[in-house]
Amino acid sequence: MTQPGTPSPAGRISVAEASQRSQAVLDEVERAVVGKRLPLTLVLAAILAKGHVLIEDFPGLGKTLAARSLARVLGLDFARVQFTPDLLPADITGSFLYNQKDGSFDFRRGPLFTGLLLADEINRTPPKTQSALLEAMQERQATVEGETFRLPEPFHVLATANPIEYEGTYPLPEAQLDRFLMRVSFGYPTTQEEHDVVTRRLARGQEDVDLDQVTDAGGLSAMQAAVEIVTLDDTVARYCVDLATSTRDHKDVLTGSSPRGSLGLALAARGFAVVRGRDYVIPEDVKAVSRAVLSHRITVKPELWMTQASGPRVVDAVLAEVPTPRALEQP
Amino acid sequence: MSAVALTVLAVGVLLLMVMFAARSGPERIFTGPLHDPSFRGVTPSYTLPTPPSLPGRGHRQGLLHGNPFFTTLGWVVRLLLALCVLWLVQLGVRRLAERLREWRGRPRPPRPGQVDFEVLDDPDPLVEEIRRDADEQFALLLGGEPRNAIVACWDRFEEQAERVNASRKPWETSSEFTLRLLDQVAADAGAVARLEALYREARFSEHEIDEARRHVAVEALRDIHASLGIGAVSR
Repeated sequence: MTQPGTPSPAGRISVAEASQRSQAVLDEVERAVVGKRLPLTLVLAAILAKGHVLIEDFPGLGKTLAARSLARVLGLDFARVQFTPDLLPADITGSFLYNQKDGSFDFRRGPLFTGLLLADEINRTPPKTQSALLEAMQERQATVEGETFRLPEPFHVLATANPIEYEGTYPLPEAQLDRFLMRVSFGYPTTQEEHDVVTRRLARGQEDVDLDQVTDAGGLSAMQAAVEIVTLDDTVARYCVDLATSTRDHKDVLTGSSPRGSLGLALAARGFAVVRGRDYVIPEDVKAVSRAVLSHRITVKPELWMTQASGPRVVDAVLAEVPTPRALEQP
Repeated sequence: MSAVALTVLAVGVLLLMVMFAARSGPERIFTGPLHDPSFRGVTPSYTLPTPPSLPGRGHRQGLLHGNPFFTTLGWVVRLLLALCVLWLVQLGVRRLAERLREWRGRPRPPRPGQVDFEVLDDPDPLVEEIRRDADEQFALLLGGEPRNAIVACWDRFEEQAERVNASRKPWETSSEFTLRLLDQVAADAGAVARLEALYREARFSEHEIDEARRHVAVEALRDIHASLGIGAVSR
């Protein structure tokens, strides 16, 4: 497998090439993860926007499979960490070990130093360990005993959390949730899709799905560079800001989206536009990513916890209120 | 929530005061029992003679109850307290009603088949309006810079819809609205998609929009009109 950070011989690529490659990635991943094109598109859009993704779903819905498949198809190094209550920060970042040969301390890298890290059940570990990972996500570096180590490029975290079991868990604080560009749910497959899962497995004759590598770490970096040249019209940028700020004024909301939400909308919409084959963002792109980008940045008032009020519902309400950019701008 | 709790607390305190005033008279609330020996609970072994110069309890009662001014004042105080209570109660009820209304008005997941936009009962008026406005729409598309012309041509569909009272919701994008309308009048889907793609590119991209793109848009608009039974326009 290609080492993370290896420069692609192709160098810079156009948006059209990035789009074609994105479609090829999705087609390949969909061979393993059946019928989840839209959530997979969102995850890929977040990766193209250099973001991290929190996948919140019930057990057995393909979270780990999706992460492994994406890592394989994107040609990234893959590491999985099962977050448990006794996990320590050094178990993720790595630690210095005494070398008896030359009497020095050598740094042994932890699973953090990879291309795509699957942080499984991130809410099962105490905040101290969570914050070690989240610091690395934000700054793309890890500091161990005063020494700073850069993480490979590209570096992405796909974290999973179970939304129904709360006993013995440490829910991520809002400030840490904010570090994830998106929170995505795969949801249950339809009956037909579930039937496809069964028949494909029986036809395959083995558990693993052999997927082809579509690109490598350098290729992904080139795709991410292509996203940077996607045009975002000023009226669409204002629409992103209006959506994020409107979450702060909603009657059910204690704390709305931070400015990072506006930025996240703009970045994720650009990634989404590339996957959809455009080098410019349309308001529909913003709408498509807004639920995944904004809902986890919203804290509902405590007195409404027993009601149906929730982040996604607030985002839906905001989407049904905030005016979209007009065809003809008003003078 | 804290405002509601404070209101309830205030109502409770006032109710207690009113009940106490009703039982013992409002003067008891303001003067209190501290100077009244009958509240001490201890029977004195002897009775002090009341000095004739000092007014005693009987004298005070006589002064309060016998005096029409104090009697009227007592009733006025009771009335004011009752009004206060009524005001606070109606405040609390109104607040509760607001909460209930908010709770009932909370957005609910749409039922299958439920849509949150207007559906034209009869698409004929819109087709008629597009027919009536066809010359003007072509004129917009053929004049000025190609980029602005394509955007103006697409926006014209919105104006035509507004004239037959089918306005775009503010949260709907122009593409969503116009595609839906043209679908309802059964316009040529391929031509609509071509014109919509050109509109999006002209409106949101920095691509060069040249005369060739305008030509494609003219062809698309012509096909849309033809699919609606609108004949060739003069231009």
